[in-house]
Amino acid sequence: MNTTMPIHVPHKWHANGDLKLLILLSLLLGALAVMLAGCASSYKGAYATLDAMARLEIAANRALIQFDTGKQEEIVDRALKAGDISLGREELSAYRTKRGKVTTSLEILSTTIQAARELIPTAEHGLSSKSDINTLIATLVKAAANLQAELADLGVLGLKP
Amino acid sequence: MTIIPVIVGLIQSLSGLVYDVVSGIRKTDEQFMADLEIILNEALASGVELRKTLADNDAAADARLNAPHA
Repeated sequence: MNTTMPIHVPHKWHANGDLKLLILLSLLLGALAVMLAGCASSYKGAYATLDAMARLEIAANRALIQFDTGKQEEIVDRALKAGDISLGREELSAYRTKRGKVTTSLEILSTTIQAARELIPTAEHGLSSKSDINTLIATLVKAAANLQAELADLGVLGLKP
Repeated sequence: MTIIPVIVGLIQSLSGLVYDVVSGIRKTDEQFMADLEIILNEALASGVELRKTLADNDAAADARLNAPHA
């Protein structure tokens, strides 16, 4: 599979509906997968969580791409209009610091998803332990919760202006 | 006893239903795993796209702000 295939980013993708639902779904599935850990069906739960988390990652990446483009343009436009370049630089720097938290959470989410992708099949065939899977699922749930808070803090989820 | 054929019919219907459901679940499982692979690869690609776009946006914003006419 080509891992560098282009991603279609729709012009009017509305983050608030789809992304919030995906976050909720990911958290619910993650919690469910951890609860089902002792049952035979735990791997199905783990795979379903992985699927939801990957969809969440894609949606968050797309939302951030769209948000970032508009936000940086807005900051620069305002600074140029006011004739205050240093204020523009300060605002850009503050925004990018906040954005860095989101991208770090996304990196953690992505890395954990890919680790789980490798590990779940080995656990399924008895080559690794269920507790490792549970740890990864718990990490995924925590990363999704952090991501939700940071996207909201940045304004991508529309909870803050 | 007219009830016996009815019971047999019901059992057959139920068996058919169970078979359909089981085979349907199997097929769905295979399809699910195939779709999961696609989604996981798409997630990786979207991360690459994100990093590139953010770097481009940073460069564009800095260039506009630092342009001589600004």
